Amino acid sequence: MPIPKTLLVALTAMWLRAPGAEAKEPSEHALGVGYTYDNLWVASGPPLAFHGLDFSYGFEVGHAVVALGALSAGLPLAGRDDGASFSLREIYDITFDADLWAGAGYRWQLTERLAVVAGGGVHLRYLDLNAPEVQAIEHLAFGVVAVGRVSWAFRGGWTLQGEALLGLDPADFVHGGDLRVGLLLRPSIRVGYRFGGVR
Amino acid sequence: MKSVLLCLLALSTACDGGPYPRIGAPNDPLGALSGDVVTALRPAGSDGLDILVIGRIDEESGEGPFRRVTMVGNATETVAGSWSLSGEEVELQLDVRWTRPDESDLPPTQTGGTQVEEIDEQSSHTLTYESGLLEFDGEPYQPMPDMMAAITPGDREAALDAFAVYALTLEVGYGRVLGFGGPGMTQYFGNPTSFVGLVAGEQVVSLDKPLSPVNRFDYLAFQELVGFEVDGRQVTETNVSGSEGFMWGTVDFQWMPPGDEQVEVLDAHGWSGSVFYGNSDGSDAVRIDGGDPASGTYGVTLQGRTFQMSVDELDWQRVRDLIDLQPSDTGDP
Repeated sequence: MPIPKTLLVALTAMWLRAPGAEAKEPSEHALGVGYTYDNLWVASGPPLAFHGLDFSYGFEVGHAVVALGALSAGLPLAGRDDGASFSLREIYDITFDADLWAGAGYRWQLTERLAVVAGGGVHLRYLDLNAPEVQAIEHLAFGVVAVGRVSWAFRGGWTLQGEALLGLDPADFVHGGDLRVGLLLRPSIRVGYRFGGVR
Repeated sequence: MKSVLLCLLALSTACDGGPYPRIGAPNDPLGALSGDVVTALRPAGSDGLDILVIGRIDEESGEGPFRRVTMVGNATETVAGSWSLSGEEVELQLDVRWTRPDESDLPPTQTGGTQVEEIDEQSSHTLTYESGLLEFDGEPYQPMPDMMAAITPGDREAALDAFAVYALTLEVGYGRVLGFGGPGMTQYFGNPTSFVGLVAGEQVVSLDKPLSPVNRFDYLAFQELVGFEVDGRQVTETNVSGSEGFMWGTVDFQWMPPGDEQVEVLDAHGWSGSVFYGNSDGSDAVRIDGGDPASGTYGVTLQGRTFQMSVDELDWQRVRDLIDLQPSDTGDP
């Protein structure tokens, strides 16, 4: 079906926007690290738990009602299975996880420097543990997240950001019949920059 | 990663890639065998096969290796453990079970492929071995050497029979390649993985090029049935969905009756040959369509004579016709 010309024009205008309008929309972009705890309740046996370190990029756009999200990737380091603990890096040659979430929230500017954001969104998580001698664990889960952020503008536009993420993943694209639910907890700390000034 | 892409393509429903493996679970819990081994077979049901692989009892431990493969159509179940004598009976201790379900009617994203689980099952059975037949729980099984005696190289029929035993060897092997037949095969992407044979040797599975998958099976003195050994590389190159492509490579096979492993005996009691799937550039290759070999011919060589076999003729179920469950006159124990 051909796309109406007027729709194309409108979409292009939204994408380009007026330079003045773009400058008024504040945004914050931050890089940092986080600790990840991932617990998978599975039908086939005891839960599987993974602990790891992740590097992440987080963003936030808007004044009070904000669009926000984060992309992270990192290393699962330890696992727990049926009461036993494992060093994943000693068992697997490939240990990798990635996580993407996006959603919306509300920003409260508590003081000139301090702001709090609460929100939620949808979430996609990938975990890959692989080595020739052992069975590969692949996990691609989809679910929802709730997020709380604290942002402190410590110098000019520079901010220190703390984030706590709680994710629930009821769907797994690889082991759909086995996953009951996955629980993801990730506290992160990031350093960022806020464009468009502090409200 | 490709399983992820494959599953995302499904969009509507999640993939059923089987249960999550446990952390650190070995790819191949099967240990290599040593010493004397008997392989015996019997037809099962209308289109199945029941295969026993039994090793001699070790005097120190009082146990011997026990493996059993049950094939029905496209489904395979393999169990492994040990056996010991208890009075007149045989005690089985089963430790591992591989399951390759028949998923031929399912879309690729809904298949789980071959799975493995640890088990702890004990059972009592009867086992006798006399008059050229092995009896397990009162059911007769024919040992490999007696079954293979039905193959006399020379004509196309013999080549078809040898081809069937070769196909059976590969089919039994697929029954322990985790994820085989499902999205789980992507775990071998950049990660060649070895699975030991039920009797000896190994098969190494690897996968390259996720967007145009190249799936290799390297057979290294691989024996699933005692005395029948395959060696070589078979490669399948397909499009991303696995529906179209071609096969290439050459795999050698030889039959050496157990106990006659000396080379000079091969001409007298054993035989050898090879299966040619095609060239790496796709010429003279067996073509894949709809995920299965659909056209082209296998070049089957037996004792120096080559026969072209159509894809329909590669059928392990032909082995059922080689099995003769009548007690032999010789009464060899």
